[in-house]
Amino acid sequence: MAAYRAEDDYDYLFKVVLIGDSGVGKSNLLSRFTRNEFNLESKSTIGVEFATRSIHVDDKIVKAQIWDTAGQERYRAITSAYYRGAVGALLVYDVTRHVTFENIERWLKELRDHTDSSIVIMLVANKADLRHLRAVSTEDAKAFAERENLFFMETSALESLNVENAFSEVLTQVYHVVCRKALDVGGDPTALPKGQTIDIGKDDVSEVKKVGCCSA
Amino acid sequence: MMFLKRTTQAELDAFYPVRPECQDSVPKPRFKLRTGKTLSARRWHSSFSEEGQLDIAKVLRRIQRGGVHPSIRGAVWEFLLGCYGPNSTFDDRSLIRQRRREQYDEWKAECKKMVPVIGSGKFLTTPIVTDDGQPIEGAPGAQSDQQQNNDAVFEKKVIQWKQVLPQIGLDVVRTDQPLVFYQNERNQAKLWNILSIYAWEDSDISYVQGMNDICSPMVVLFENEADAYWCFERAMRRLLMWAMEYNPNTFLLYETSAAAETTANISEKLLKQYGKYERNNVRTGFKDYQSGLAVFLAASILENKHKRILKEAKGLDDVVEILGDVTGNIDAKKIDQSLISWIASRFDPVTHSLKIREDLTTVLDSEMVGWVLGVPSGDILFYPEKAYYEEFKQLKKIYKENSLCGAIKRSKVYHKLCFEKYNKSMFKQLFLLYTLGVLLCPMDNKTWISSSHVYYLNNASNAYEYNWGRYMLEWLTKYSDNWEVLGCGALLLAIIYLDRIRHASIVDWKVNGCRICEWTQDSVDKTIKSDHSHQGHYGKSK
Repeated sequence: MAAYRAEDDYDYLFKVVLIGDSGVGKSNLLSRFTRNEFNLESKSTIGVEFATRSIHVDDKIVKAQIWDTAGQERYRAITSAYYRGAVGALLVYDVTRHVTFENIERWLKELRDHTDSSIVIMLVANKADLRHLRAVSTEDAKAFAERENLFFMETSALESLNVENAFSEVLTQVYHVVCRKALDVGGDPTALPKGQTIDIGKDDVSEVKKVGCCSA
Repeated sequence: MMFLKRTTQAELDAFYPVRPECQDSVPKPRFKLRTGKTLSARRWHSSFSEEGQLDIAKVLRRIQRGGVHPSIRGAVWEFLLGCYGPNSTFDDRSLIRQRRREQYDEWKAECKKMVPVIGSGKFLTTPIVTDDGQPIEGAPGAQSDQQQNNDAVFEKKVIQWKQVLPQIGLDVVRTDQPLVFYQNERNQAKLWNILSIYAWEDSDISYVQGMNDICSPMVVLFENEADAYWCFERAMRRLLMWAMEYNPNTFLLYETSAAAETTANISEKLLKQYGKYERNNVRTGFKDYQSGLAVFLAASILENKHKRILKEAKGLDDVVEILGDVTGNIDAKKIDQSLISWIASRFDPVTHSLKIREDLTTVLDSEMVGWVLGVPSGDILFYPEKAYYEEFKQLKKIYKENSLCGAIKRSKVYHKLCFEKYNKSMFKQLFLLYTLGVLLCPMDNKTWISSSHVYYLNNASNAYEYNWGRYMLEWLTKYSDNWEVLGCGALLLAIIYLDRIRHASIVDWKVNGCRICEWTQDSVDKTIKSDHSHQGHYGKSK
């Protein structure tokens, strides 16, 4: 299968992060996309894990390195290291638990605080298979996504619904951002990228201090 | 014989029954009852004296060889985890047990007053208080009987505790799900009670995801909730270092070790630091040098590679090549000298701050330095302890004899490494010095470096435990007025500066590693050029 070629054969390597409250199904989205596996008896994630998979975008091979983390606040000590270099993000909530949708705003803020403004973000409404337990309406989520300029998709890692689409869409969009940027600076290598302000406040270095709160 | 084997296996399965639909997904336990090896109930009971003192040495041997029979596992664990000393008598233990149960019940009652669902056979998975501590209307079991307490510190503790309770619940439902035992909500609630009460009693640790897995076996093993609690509490004490916090240094390792290790020599210990998915990739030989290229301080390099170096580096050309693998993409010698001096002039050693622009100053701390250079920022600090003074003097003497005293030229070390014969220990020291020179004073081969570094490096037996970031920062501030001579940290300052003015350019991003590795000669050149005004000044990027 073309999608599972040799791991080191790729044109682009993109880091994508999965974020959202504890228990929304981040790890199962990851295992569904990278290994086509789903585990009903999955355990909570401890610390950080990542998995990779390559897909085709246009005629290029894009390798996605997808990072998964514990949802619990306590693991936030590793935040800036987790977000560092991410070019795409899946912001996941659980359609059966409204509180996980309410917290999306906070996750979004943290994401924007730690990443480049050109990051591609998709709001993911997971566990869409649990129709009878739904607590967040599609309309509400869509409206929020539009307001915040996010992509939106309803998924079910269990039923393998839209999981492939969600990741592919994010990776394709990232790829387009990269191509556009390359084009912008392409003409004159010394020229500043057009219309870009240097946003020092958002730069990684200012965030790095948060990394080590445990070792201090 | 066959029959006997089957009975014991069936006997074993009966202790921890697995839900039929999960039979296939649950890995088969490696533990097997082995007659004559496994510690049996009979042997266990006969290992006590008349008063009840335990011959621990005798049972330990057996446990080590063949494990513990499930029927006595709880009782054995109590001893192994240190709930009771082996010399305690039956009477002692029953007294301790009694007292501990009372203590637990007391705490449980205290917690129940604040959150009535505790001890009710049910548990929480949804929030009962908002982020700012206000009770959520209609949240089940949230109404507390307790009077508002005016003690702000206490109130804060209560709120933080209440906020963690639903997290415990979310993990409880995900704990050992294949076991029939946890299909019973009361058993899940038992696990939840214990973790919740622990979180209240040990508010420093509170609850961290993963503690549920540590606690779960105790809940299965002990009928009595209080006994399970105390066993868990003992286990936590032992696991404190591991369970307390996620160690950022481990994370650093996790990010960079792919480069330092190849499949052939990757150790099991290192492998454990990877996540479960990536672990397979590493095992099956997936290599991604590009993403993990990292600069470690000399000691770290040596830690990883010294065997290879000592074995393979016959001539210095090889050493340089190996180093080249590690020092990343920037040729520091090519970095614009006038930029370096300009940046150095903007570093204030008193406040550890670097003035990026007129209105923006970055304060350097050890974490930042550690991250930029990809060096470990462990807990141990380097201080020239008085106790080491004699040793230090001794070392200096040796250097003097080898004309390595004080600040020395890197080229001189190079020469010594190349053309003179040394024993392993001296080779190591020289190599450290050379490597350190490459990292600290990358400007050219004539740069002077201080041999006092070697003292620290030589004493760093486990490089990851030391705070190299802080060491670098102290070195930087100590010699900042003289940086051109000592060359220390020039590259570090340059990277921090370039990082701050970095023009968002997604194309150049790499996903892993420290900052110094993310920069390439090309991106450095481009950034410097764009920051250079027509009048020849830097700091144009405002």
